Amino acid sequence: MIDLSALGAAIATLTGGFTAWIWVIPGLLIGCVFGALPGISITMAMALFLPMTLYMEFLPAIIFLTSIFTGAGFGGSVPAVLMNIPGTTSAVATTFDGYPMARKGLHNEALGAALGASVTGALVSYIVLLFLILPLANVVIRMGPLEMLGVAVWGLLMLGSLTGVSLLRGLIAGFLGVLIGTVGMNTAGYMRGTMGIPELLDGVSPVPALMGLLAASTLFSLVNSKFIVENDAGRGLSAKRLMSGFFSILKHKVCLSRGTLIGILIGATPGVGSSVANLMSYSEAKRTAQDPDSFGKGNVEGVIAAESANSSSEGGSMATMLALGIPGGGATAVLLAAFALHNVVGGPNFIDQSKDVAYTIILNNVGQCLLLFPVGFLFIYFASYLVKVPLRFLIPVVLTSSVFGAYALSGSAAGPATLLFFAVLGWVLSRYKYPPAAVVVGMLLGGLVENEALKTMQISDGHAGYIFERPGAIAIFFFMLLSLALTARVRLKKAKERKLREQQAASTS
Amino acid sequence: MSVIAARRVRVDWGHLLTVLAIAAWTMWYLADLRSVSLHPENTLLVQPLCILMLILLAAVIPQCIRADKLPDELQPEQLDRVGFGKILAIMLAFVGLVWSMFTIGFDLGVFLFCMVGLFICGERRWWVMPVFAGLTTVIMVKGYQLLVPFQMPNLIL
Repeated sequence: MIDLSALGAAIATLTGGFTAWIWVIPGLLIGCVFGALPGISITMAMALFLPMTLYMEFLPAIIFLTSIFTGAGFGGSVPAVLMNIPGTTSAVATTFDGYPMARKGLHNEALGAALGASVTGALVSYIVLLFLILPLANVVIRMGPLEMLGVAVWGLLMLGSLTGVSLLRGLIAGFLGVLIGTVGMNTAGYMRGTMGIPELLDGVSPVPALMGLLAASTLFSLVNSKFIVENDAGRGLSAKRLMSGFFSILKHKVCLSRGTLIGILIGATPGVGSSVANLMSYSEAKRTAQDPDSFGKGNVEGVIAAESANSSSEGGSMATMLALGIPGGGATAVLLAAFALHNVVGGPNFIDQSKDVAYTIILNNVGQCLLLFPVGFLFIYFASYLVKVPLRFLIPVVLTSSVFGAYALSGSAAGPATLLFFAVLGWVLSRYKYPPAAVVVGMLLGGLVENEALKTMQISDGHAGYIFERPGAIAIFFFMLLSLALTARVRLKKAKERKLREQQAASTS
Repeated sequence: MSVIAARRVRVDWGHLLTVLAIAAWTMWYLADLRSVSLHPENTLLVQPLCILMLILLAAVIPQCIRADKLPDELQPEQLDRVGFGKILAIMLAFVGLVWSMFTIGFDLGVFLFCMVGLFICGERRWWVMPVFAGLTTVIMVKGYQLLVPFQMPNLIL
C-alpha cells in the first residue's frame, strides 16, 4: 500500500531545506483572501498565479499552487458565515447554519468551527490519500454514469432537509431549482427553455445565480437593519471564542468524521467534487441529528458537516489527479496544467516512476493543513471586523463586489444580469417562505441528474436490468435506502416517544 | 393583502402572483420542451417534473387565498411602507448599477450606485457619500482590473 523507501526520500526532501516550505504561507494567505472574494473561484485564483510558477522548480511550483488550493478551500467559508455569500459552490451548505449563527452574534464560534473542520477534514483526507492513493483511484475509475446518478440522487435528497417551515413550499423551491438547472442544451443535444438567449445554451451560470439567491437577496432584506449582528454585545471579536469554536469540533466527532469520509469519496469522483460533497454531508448531518429542527437556525453541526466535507474533498480530488491524471474539478485541472508546464505528465506513470515526488506533494499538503490553523486563525480574526462595519457601508460595497464577481466569471453582462434576476427572485421566495437554498441545491444537481440519467439510459438501452451489472451502483443505492430507512425509523421512534410523553403529561394533569 | 369581508377570505396577492408567475414559467417550459422533441432523451426528467411542479403549485394556491388561516411561521414578515420602500429602492438602484455599468461605464455606475445605496441605507452626512463612493469605485475597478482578464468599459478610470 505504501512504498517505504519512496516515503523516506519524500521526508528527506521536505526536511532537507526550506525550498519545499517557502511558498506555503504565501500560498495559504493568497488562497484565503481570494477564496473569500465573491466570484473569484479557487480555479481562478490558481490560474492567476499559474504563470508565476513557470520560473520555479517543479516541486515549489506545485506546492505553491496546492497551498493556494488549501487556503482558498477554507477562505470561502468566511463570507459564507459573515455575509451569507458562498463565494464558491463548495461553500453553499456553510451558509445554511453559519450565517444564522453570525446573525445571533455567534460569528466567532461559527468561524472557529469552520476552521477546525476545514483543518481536520483536509488533514485526514491527505493522510488517507498517503496510504490509499492507488486503491482509491482504482475505485474511482470504475464509476460509470449509473454510479454518478446514484451520487447525484443522494445529493438531491438534501432537498428533503432544506424544506424549512413547509414541506410543500420547500419541494416547490427545490423542483424549481432542478428545472432551472436543466435549462439549455442537454447531453443529447436538445435545447430547451433558452428563450433564444445564446448565453443560456450552456445553462444558467450557477455561481452568479447562487450569489443572487443567497447573498444579494439577503442584503436587500438587511436594508432596514443597522448591523449584521443587531445586538451590540454580540459584535465583539474574541480569540477565546474563536478557539472555543475551533475545539467545538471535538464535541461533534461523528459529524466531523462522516463529513470527512463523504468529502474524500465524493471529492475523488471526477465532475462531482466538493460542490456535492458539502451538500450531502450537511444533508446526512441533519437527517441523523437528534434535533434536526435546529438546522438552518444556527446549529454548529451544520457548519462542521459542510466544511469538513468540502475540505476533505481536496484530498479526494488530488488522489484522482495524481494517480489517474484525471482532474476532478477546475482546481486540479490547473495543477495538471502546472505539471505540463514543467514537462511532467500526471497519472499512473507519474506514480510509478516518481512515487517519492507524489509522496512529497502529499506530505507537504499535510504540513499545509497544519499551517492553515495559524494562518486561517489570523485571517478570520481580521475578517471578523466585518460585523462591526455598519450595514449602510457594507450593503453597497458587497452588492458591487458581487456584480464584479459575476462579471469576472464570463466577462459579459450575462453574469451580472443572472445575479440581478436571481437576487430579486431570492428575495421574493424568502419573503413567502420558499427556501432559496433549496433552489440552489436543485440548480446544482438538476443538470447532473438529467445528464447521468440520460447517459445511463443510452448505455443500458433503456433496460432496467442494467443495474444488476453494476455492483457499485447497487451498493450506492443500497446505502442511500438504508440511510433513509434508518432515519425514518429514528423519526418514528421519536414521534412515538413524544406522543407517549404528551399522553403521560395529559394523564397526570 | 386584502380582505374580502363577505366571504372572510384574506388574499395574499403578492404570494398569489409569485405562485402564478412560477406556474406560468413552468407551463411555458413544458410547452417549449415538447415543441423541441417528444423523444425520451429530451423529456426524461423535465416533463414529469414540470407536471409534478404544477400539481404542487395548485396545492399551494389555497394558502394564498386563505392567508389568515396560515400558521405564524408561514406568514410573510410585516413591512411598513418605509421599510418596503427602502427594499424596493435598493433593488431599483441595483438594476441601475447593472444597466449603467455596461452603458455608461463601470466606474461611474459604481460611484452613482454607492452614493444612492448609502443614502437609501440611511447615511446623511453629505461629505461621507462622495468620499466613500469614490474610494469604493477606485478600489473595486482597479482591483478587479488587476485580477480579471476581461475589458471593463470605464468613463474616467
